[in-house]
Amino acid sequence: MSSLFFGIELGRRALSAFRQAIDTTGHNVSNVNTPGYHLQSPILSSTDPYAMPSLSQTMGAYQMGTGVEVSKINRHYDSAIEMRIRELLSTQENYNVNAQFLSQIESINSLQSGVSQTINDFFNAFQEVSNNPESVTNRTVVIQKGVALSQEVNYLAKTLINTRSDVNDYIKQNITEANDLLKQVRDLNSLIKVVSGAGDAPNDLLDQRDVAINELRKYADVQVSDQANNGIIVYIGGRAVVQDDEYLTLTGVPNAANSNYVDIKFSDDLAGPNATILDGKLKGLIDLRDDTSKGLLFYKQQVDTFASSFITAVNTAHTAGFDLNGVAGVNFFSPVVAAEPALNMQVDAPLLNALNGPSLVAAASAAANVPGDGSNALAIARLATTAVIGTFTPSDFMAQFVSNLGANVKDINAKKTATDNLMIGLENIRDSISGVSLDSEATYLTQYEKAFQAAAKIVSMYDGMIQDVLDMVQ
Amino acid sequence: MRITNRISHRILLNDIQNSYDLMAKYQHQVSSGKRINVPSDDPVGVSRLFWLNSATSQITQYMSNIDIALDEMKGSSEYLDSVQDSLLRVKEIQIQAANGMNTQEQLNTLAYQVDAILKNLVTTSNQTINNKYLYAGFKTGTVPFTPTYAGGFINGMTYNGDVGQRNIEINSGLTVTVNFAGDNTAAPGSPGVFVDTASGVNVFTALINMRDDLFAGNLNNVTGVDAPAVSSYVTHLQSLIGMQAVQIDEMENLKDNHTDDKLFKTNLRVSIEEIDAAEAISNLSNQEVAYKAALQVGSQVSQITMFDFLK
Repeated sequence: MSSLFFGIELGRRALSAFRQAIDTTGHNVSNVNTPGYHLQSPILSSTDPYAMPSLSQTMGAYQMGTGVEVSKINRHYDSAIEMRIRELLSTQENYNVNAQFLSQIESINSLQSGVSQTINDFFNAFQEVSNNPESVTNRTVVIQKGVALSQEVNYLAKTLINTRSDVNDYIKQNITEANDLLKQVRDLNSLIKVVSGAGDAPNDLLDQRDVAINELRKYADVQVSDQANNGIIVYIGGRAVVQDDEYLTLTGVPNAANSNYVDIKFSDDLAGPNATILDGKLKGLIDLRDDTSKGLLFYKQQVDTFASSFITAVNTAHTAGFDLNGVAGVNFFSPVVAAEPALNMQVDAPLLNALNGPSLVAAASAAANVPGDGSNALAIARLATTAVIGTFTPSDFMAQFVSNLGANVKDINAKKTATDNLMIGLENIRDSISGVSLDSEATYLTQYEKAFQAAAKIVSMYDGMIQDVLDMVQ
Repeated sequence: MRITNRISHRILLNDIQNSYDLMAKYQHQVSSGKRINVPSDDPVGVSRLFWLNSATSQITQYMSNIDIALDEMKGSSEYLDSVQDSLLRVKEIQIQAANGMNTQEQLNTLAYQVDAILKNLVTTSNQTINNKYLYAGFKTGTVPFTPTYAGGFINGMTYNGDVGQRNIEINSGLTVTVNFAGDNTAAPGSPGVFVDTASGVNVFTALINMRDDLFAGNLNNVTGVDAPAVSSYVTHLQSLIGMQAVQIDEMENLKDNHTDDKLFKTNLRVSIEEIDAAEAISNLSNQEVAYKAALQVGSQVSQITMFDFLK
């Protein structure tokens, strides 16, 4: 048998429940724009009913409802879609970082017209020497054109080297940022485990940890496995980097065999193997820097191949000839520097002497033919249409270099666009499940408010009834 | 699908961004005038442009080379024509001498005339063009013919040049020899202008001998030996002049071909590299309108929520 106060308790429970529901609605509305926020819904359920004891049965003939409570606050989280988004984040950042740096490279002016122009000018200048080998002017011009070409090649090499160095610095910076995120994840993880262990649902902490993990995914393809009490273990390349209140950082270790650019290793094993990172910014940057089939190193090697083959071909032809003094030709370009051919390409010092240099251009094919014979100069000029670099003429080689770079950038941009569009689609699906709709929340607000008002009326009514009873006994 | 606020904002933002990107791209095309601003705009096109630029540059060079070759060959042509004219004069002298009615004094006068023509010929053989001796082979800085004297008259010629053939490239892999050596004794395979050992002619000795024979009154030699020697030389000279004329003609034709080729390649380059201005500007205008529409719609739709209507 229940009492009037049972009714007031009913009302009180309802008021409390609806107030909490409105609080949650308010929390949702406040966080409509918070990144990583997942919609929270208050789950209202009836409180445990009372079994009324009766004469012949211990279990109730009927059950009394005892009101309402917010049994839990549900976090709308679809792990399947979240996992797809998480995986795509790494790929997206990988493409982003590649597109960014490669676009920089392809914008440099040398590639547009500079190299092509200076190659043509150089060979045309030798044609002019061939036409008039006696002319000091023509000889001076061909030396100048040689200098111009060398400078273009130097600039190209320098830009590629500097960009590789920039990428290396960027890698170091990203390692630091990733390590900060690892610490953040560790801190949140510990807190979540404590809160969950105490029986509470740490919805907002879970949101924050998910945001941190997603940020981490941008750097590397971290894997996550679940533990008790909402805890997680985070892995990079098979090694656990966040586990049980500990975290392991990454370190960039300079590699002397690679111009002292850094390799990414785990901080507890600096002499060990590199961390296996297969996607994300770090992977993208490492590939950009070191990949020999399509990264910056590849392009630098191409420029180096151009320089060394070009220098060798011109020098071979030049030393076969005779200069204006009837002396056998010296090297036109300084001999190839094996370590950095393109960076060091230059016209050889004797030719740069303003007074004596021009006469050193070896235009003639025999000492006796000086000065009227320009056939050796013609032979050099004809290198323009000769397969000097593998099966390519100099101009064709640079053409395929530039074209290759362009195709690569175009490809990356296309992949980036496709990935971005896919990401938008996935995020929309996730927000469809987990996002806050202001209109819905407004509707719920009205609903809970009306219920609250009704509950208040009930309390008021019971209060009146109690008063009536009290009035009965004076 | 349940649409939430973040979704509609994301879609709006993405559409506006894409619209703006496209607009920026068209803007750049119009302001630069180029369809290809970076290699990734058209990787295949870029490769073709490289080749076209290179080919056009070579054609321009060949045309310039042809001009240089023509300068020398036409110059030489004129000199050789003047030599031919001088030798006509020698023919007249020889005929006059041969009529048997001249006194020795008259013969001497004719001899002096021959001598004058000889001296002229020496000057012609040492002509230059662009500071180069035309008929010296490779020894373009050295005077090719130096006369030796006896008793104040030229009695022999020394050739200081060589038989080098100066070649100029007028098309890919194709050269033309622009010069004739003055004296081809060292290498009878190529023509010699004034002394050609293969054809057995030597204009200098022919004239020296005729002059001396006139001074000596030896009319039999003048008619029987000297005149035929001069005739043989004239025949030789004419064949050289003819050869040169043909070459000049061919080069003029080739130059025309190069001009056409260059025009064709230039047009091709323009069609690949440059924008159609009308089309690009029209694209830009359309895109600006689309962008503006996206902005306007976005600003209107996203303002309303139910909270505006709750009391």
